[in-house]
Amino acid sequence: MKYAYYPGCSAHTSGKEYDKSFRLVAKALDIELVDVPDWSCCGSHVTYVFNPALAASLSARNLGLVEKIGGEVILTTCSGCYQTLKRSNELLKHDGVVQSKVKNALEAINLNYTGNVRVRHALEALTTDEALKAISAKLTKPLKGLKVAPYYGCAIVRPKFEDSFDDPENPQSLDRLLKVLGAEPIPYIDKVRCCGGVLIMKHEKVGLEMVRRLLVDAKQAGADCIVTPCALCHLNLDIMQPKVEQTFKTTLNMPVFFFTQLIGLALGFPSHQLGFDKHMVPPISLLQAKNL
Amino acid sequence: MTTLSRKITSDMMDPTFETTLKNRLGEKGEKIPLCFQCGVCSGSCPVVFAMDYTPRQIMELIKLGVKELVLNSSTIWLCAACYSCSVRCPQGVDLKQVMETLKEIAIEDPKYSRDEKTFYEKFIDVVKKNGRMDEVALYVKLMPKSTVMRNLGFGFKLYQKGKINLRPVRSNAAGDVAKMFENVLSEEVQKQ
Ligand code: SF4
Ligand code: SF4
Repeated sequence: MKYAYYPGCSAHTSGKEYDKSFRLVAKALDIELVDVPDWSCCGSHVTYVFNPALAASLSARNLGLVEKIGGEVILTTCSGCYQTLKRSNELLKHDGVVQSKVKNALEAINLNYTGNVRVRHALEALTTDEALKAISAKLTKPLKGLKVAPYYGCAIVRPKFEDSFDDPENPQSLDRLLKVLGAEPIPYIDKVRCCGGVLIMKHEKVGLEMVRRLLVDAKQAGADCIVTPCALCHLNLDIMQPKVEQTFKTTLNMPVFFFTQLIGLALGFPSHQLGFDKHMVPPISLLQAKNL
Repeated sequence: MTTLSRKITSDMMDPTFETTLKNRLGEKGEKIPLCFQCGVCSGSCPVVFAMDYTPRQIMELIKLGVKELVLNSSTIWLCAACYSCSVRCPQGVDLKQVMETLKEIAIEDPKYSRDEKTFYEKFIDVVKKNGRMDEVALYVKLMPKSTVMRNLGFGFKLYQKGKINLRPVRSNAAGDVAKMFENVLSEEVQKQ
């Protein structure tokens, strides 16, 4: 299997360990990743608020580059990019005005996009029946005894697009993956409840309260840790966790993993290759306690 | 949350507001009149605890044409764009899209956009300049000056964990991105 890979901006900032562990796991599963050459920001939903045609143009640049290298699918690890790229594809299909503005913008940089690149998430690609079978065949260290709260977040399941791969209310892909890895998925009512996303930047108190609730609920449900397929969720749940503890005068100590890190662990990669040292809430003592 | 018992005076009203909004929303706008005030949106909203008007109340205010309260509400800025309301609304109202369009209208009019606009402006500036986003740098940039001292320890930890890049994260394509900005935005200026 070969994909055009779009890491998204967070791969070079808050989510370096996501990108690193995904590349490692993909290689181990014989999935070839070709980086979209000179990719740029997808626009994100923030640019959409400011100017939809501009946001769609920013997306279309990356999608056009995939076409240029002969790709049909763009694969991304970032749920925000996934949602934005899909949204832009849809807008380009249905909105003639945006379409012509985007065409002009791309012409200014000698590029073209016909609208036919399919957007897929890394979680989607790694939880097909075929991929799960491949993971299962290569499992060397089942995550026995690890109780994990599967946290999907919003952007990967909502809105519902024509070709969405999981359910907006009760998604199952992460749960299925956890079972294959030998871990125990904990039923978690907040699995698709928003973490606040970028609210943390301008409305910190509100954002921290939203994160607090997600962490406390996971703890009360009996989880040892949380797993997520979203870089922004990870930023909120892991990076901001010390702030939540400080603000609400509580101790949570809830490690938050990217799903690719857990796959890597179960495939036998040592923890230093999976970027656990980058976490604000270190997972090492938990993993030692579980003999992982 | 505020109850709507507050007296609504005529100077807060704009009878054309619902129509303006509907037009801007295109096809999605056609659903606005179908809202029957069931409150599923408010019950689904993860930020409702912090909003001054609930999402359902915003829909009611739109129908009443109380533009002032809608555009001055904290609700439109606190909406985290999570689509919970949109996927659940039994009447097919895409309330997330309504909130986004309200933000757009407020940003265009200095009377309403307050200080909220700075987040959007700074975000866009980073993308325009570097072709990519650095959300940790943006977070630090947006930190109110009064809290910087309190956050020094936190900032240092972020740095230790490799989350803070000392040099700006730049795409090789920053030049192309800037060209697209120019192209899309200058066209809009000509149009006005
Ligand atoms: S869920 Fe839909 S119909 Fe019900 S109050 Fe909200 S917008 Fe109106
Ligand atoms: S999209 Fe906005 S209004 Fe709707 S549920 Fe999410 S945060 Fe609330």
